[in-house]
Amino acid sequence: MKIFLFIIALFVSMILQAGNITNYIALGESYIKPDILLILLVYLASTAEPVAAVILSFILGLAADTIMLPLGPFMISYLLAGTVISNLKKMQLSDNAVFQGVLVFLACIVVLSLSELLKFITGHPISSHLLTRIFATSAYSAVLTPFVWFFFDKVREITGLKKKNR
Amino acid sequence: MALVGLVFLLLPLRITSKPHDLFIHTFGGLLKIGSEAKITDLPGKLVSKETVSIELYNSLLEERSQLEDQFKEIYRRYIQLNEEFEQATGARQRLPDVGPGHIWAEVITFVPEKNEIDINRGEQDGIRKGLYVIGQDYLIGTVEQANNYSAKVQLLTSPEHSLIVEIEAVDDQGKNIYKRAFMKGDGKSGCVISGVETKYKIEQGNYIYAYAKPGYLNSPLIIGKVSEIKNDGLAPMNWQIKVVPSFDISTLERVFAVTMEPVEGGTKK
Repeated sequence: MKIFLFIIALFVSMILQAGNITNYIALGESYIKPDILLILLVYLASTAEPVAAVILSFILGLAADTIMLPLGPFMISYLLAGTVISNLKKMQLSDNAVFQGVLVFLACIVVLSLSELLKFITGHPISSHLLTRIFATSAYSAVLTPFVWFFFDKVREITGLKKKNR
Repeated sequence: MALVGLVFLLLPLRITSKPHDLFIHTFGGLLKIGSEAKITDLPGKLVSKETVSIELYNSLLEERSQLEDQFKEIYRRYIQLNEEFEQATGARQRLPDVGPGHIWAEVITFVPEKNEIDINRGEQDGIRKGLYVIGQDYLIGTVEQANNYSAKVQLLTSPEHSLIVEIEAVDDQGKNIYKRAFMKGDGKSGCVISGVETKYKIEQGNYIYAYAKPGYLNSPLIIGKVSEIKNDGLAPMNWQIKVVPSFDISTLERVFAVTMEPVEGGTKK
């Protein structure tokens, strides 16, 4: 059941992130959109067992790379962020909405910066208005995080998956 | 696992783009649902500066409208037949060219942060990096990356996109000319031209053309219109010209890439 739910969440997040549907909630002329896959990454990394968290982070990174070529930068940065967050969960603070938002904000900053740096080093083109975009995407994702996590928690409750202490 | 990521990163895109192609082709329909991000609402059109009688104008307008309706009907039927053929044979069908060296492609997604669109045709269909891409009769950008079965088109509005263009202008002797200049995207919804001396008279609303490039574009194509012109703060003897592209991405569903073979010299207007 867990794997089935994960696969659904993964594909829904990929479609939302890559598709036009989220243009309805995009902000400004630069179309700033929340990073759904990163919100999912932080949620899973802070709820799953450490080994599972690392594997899931890698798969989510692969998914993010599949949407936005080249393959590689997000795999590495998601893996790093997922590993760190899965260790952080021992702090037992992530039921707090502010903490959730801050965690996603920091994760976004690190993951997006690192992935762009990796692209730059390996000679791939990087996004325009990079710093503004990274900051705005991180802030937007952080604001939406408590609502998205609430939705994830509800899905887990409805499907009978025990809600674990984060 | 990080090592796997590093290996993928160093492999050529031709190899690593396959999952992306698969994703785009599998979920293309779902990705297209929703609001296309709007770049501009300005539908610029090239018009003759000569005047005609109102009767002739109305008659031409009517004729054009009828031809457009016929074209839409034929094109709709063409797409329908192509889809039926694909379903019947179970094989991917390469769309035949609608003109010399033109390959039609569907727009799958618009990536606003990079000013790019994904199209559903790739190297297997003859798409290659650098090809000019046309939509709604206007040049919209160039192919930035060609995967096996999909490609990324960098729009004119991307700050990484630069192009040689020609601007309608009047020189210091009062002669109408097409002034050649260098244009870059502004990363938002327009483009900027700099380096044109202030001795040339350029007005708001003048048309901008993509300069014919041998092997890629045989005749100049409209890009957009001058939306603002002012002195360049860094070089006061030059103009800084803002350009609004004429294409409207919110209604852009199909585009075509120009695939003509390299020729000796280009054609002029």
